[in-house]
Amino acid sequence: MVLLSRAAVLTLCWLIALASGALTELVIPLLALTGLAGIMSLPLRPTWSAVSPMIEAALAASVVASVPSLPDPLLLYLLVPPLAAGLLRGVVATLLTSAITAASLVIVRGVAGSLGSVSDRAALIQWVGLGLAVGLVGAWGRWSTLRAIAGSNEYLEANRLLTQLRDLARTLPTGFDEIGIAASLLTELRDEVGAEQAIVSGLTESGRLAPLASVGADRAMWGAGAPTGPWQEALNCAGAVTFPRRLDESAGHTMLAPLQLGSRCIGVVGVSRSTAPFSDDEQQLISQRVDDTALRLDTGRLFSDMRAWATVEERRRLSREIHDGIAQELAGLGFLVDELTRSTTDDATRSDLSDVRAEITRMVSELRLSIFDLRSQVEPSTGLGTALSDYVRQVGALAGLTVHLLLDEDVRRLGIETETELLRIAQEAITNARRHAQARNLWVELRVEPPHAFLQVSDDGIGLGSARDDSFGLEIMRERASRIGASLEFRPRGGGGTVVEAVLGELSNSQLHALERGST
Amino acid sequence: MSITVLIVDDHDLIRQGLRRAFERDGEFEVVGEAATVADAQRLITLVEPRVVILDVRLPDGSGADLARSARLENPELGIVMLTMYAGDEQLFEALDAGASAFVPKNAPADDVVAAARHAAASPRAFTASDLSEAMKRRMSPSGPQLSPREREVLDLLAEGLGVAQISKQLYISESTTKTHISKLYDKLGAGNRAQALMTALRLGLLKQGEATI
Repeated sequence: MVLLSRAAVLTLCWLIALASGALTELVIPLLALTGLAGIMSLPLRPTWSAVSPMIEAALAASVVASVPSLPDPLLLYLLVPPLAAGLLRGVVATLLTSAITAASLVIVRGVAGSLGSVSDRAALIQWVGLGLAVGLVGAWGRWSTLRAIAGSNEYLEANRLLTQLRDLARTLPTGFDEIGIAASLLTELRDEVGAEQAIVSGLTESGRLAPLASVGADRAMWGAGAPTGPWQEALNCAGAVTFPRRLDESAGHTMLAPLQLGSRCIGVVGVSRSTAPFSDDEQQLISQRVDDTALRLDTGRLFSDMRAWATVEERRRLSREIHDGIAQELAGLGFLVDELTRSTTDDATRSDLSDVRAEITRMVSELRLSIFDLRSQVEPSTGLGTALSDYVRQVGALAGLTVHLLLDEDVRRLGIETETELLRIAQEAITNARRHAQARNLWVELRVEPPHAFLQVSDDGIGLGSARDDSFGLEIMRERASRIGASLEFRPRGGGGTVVEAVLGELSNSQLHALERGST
Repeated sequence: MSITVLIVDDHDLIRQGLRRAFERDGEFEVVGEAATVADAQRLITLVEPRVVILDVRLPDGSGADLARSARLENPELGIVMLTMYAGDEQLFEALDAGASAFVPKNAPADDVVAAARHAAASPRAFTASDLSEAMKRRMSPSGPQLSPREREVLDLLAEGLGVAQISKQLYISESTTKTHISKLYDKLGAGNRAQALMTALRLGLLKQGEATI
């Protein structure tokens, strides 16, 4: 661009000189300018190209000013340096180059003692001004080109990443999940440094730590809730923190390594064992493993956020569709059947119609519950316990079930994704009890002590019987449990009915109850 | 003189079913039907019905909002709100908006007619089949949930017992007692015993007179 405009202007200079018949007297300065243009057109190093338009400006101005008559063919060349500056370096360089052109002209003319003439000054102001204008146009052109390139680059990059993400999500068995990534990091650490207890906690948007995965503890570990002490220290992202206790506060040693993305801290990995403190080499190895995982973990988190968002949207859309469509039409049909029942005089028909009406009422009630199911979700501010108790009470009332609810939640919380999956498992189990089991009582128990959680839904209905394994949403419940690394069990309840139990963390039911009884 | 009724619902089948139910009853006269908030507003001023049957959700806005503004304009208008949604939220929204009755859409048409009769007779007395249960659900604490052990500790704290006495009484170690107490404080958002007991009283976890603060 710069080369082209320089060549064009130079050609124009020669042509004007030729046309005006002054070629012979101008041949020497024109040759000088041509030489200058040639030198300036050589490929330059970036550092050099920053000042080249200014040097070109000084030299060209000197050549032009040295000719007493200030002929137009030469003055024309004064446009080249500011244009080059504008195209190559932007507005500031353009202003500087114009200033240098003006200064050089004034100095050379001043030395020659011919600055006095009015036409002289007018010509100088005119050409320097024109140069400045051309340079600014060039700078604007440069800016808009840059912006266009930057814009399309962002999209290109995003597109590339999303494609990669989609391909990865397709090939990985459970998608791109942060919990799986966290769990595999913990397995690595257990094998490589003999960690007895380990936990990966992510920093939530509200500034709390929520456990993603843990291994090796048979009672509550730290690394959840508002970060305090060493956890807060680790979150400062200034390297690992160690302390002489295990994660469950028993005797031993712990190292906390920040999960770091650049200068941003996205969580903490805690590793502990009772045998010996972690050596420098081991600390380095742990930090290395944690660093390697940080980006994958954060990408997994982004992906789950996107998935969660899409899921919530879809559930809303579905609930609206049922609400505005089939549910209303069925209810309307119910009203018409009511009308028929009242207008018929035949007892047999009336009895048939009230059966039909009962069936329609059941279907509409079922749809209302489906809509309610789809709309229930864990609110970030209140959490799983509140969501579950609201849901259970409402569904119990609507379905005529007697609900026995036992909630024991720690003030510390699980991650919202984990809480959501547990709520959905409970919903599915409750729906089974309500819909298929003909139950009268429903027992729901939730105990949360991050990173552990225990959820049990039992009923006194007829049990699952010989149901096929994939019916009753069992498969969906299993999928949900595996997504958060929980175990899931279905078993008949003593005295009839079914028990569905989801346990998060390596903690058995009896251990949790022992914990509850305070015999720790 | 018959009771004039305006039916507002965006579903033909629902309006048709309800209209027939009202016409059969003999005591009512359906003076208009509307499918949108805008039409309903126009018709309420134009035909001045005694009772409006109103869906909570309409295509161009909320039925509850319409009920609220209609109630402001006419304290004697009977307003029966219908809903397909399950959940107490809608019921309390209707109560709040000044409706006279609230009926879920899985109920038989006779329920709607009965609700309309009630609304015409006493427009400012709210009725709903599930009202008392919903009130109960709303009144019961949804605040912190204490475990049975924490409840015991709380009760003993309220009796004025110290850590040593509590641990003796419950046959647990002092450190376990301390853990329970600190968890209890955490759940109640309290910094000391007095705050914890005050909060527990306020939340209904303790009965008045039970605590010695």
